[in-house]
Amino acid sequence: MSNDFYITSILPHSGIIIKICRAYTDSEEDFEDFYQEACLQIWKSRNAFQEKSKWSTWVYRITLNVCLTLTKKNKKKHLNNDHFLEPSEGNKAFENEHLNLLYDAIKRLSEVDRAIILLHLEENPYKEIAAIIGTSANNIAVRINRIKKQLKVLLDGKIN
Amino acid sequence: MEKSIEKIWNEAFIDEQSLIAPRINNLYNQKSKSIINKIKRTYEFDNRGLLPIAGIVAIGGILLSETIIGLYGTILILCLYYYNTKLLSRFSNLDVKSDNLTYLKNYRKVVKSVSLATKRMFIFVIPFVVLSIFILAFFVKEKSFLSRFIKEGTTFLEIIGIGGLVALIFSIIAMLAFKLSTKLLYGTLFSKLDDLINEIEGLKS
Repeated sequence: MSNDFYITSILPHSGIIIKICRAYTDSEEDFEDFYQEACLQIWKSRNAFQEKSKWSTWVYRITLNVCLTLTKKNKKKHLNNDHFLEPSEGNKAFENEHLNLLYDAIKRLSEVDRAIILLHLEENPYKEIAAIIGTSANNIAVRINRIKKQLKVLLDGKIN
Repeated sequence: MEKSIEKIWNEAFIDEQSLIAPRINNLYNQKSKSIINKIKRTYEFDNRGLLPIAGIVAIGGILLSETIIGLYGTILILCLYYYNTKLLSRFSNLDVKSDNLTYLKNYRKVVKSVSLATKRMFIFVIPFVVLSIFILAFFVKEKSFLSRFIKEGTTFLEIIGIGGLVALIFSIIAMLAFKLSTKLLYGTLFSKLDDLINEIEGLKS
């Protein structure tokens, strides 16, 4: 991958790539693997980009696909949804305690719900999220509502 | 919960330093390093696992009144540890100054040679080791666990026959265990390494 491509086409979107990768990994090592794989796949698929959508949408889509594929491939043992645990040392990726709690809660969602809420938090319109996930905007609206309720339950009492 | 998740998210990332992307100077170098390190760590962990086994054999030998055979087994396991350490030193002899693809290909070759050496050891050395334990038990004649199976009138030739048969069974079990453990512990890593080599070759062609 050329340095130019990385600087001009990936680095401006590294924020969302990092946010997505963090939501699918539990360790720094996995996070770096996922991040690098996402960058590699974005670069490899650059010729397939047909400008039907925004480049940022393309980047989200590739990153999500990479994260979903690697998560399945690695057969990661996800934490039990029934218990809300305090964020472990390994999960404290950020200095902001509230953000760490939110990330821990997001990691307890299903893989697709995680993708939806991340895209929503990044202020993507429902229509765009629907295009990335491959469903209708109405469905996304319903799901976001449900996910937010789920997150509220998980975070209740943890954040004041 | 007073704060909305959107608020937490937006506030957190205003000055978030953790959003600095991991440094990628050369993606394939990073990827290679990551896979190589994982393989190296797995090999070392695997080999270090022999040390507690050696301890268990020694203690087990003593507890089963099989001191001499126990110690003999411990020494053999320690020899295996030493042999593996020697095999793994082949990795450090690789020229790190060579280009990424050459290094990976050479690394793969060493992986194959280590696997072959281990396989040969299972086929030829394990039967010899098991047989030697039977012979030792025959001569030591301890009133112990293994000696109970060696009757008074058992001849040396019979011991060789029984020992040989047990050795053969052990060798087959060891080979199966080796194949299974290699697949479980290293299967994904080796296929990642092969994929990486193919990817780099594809990009170069």
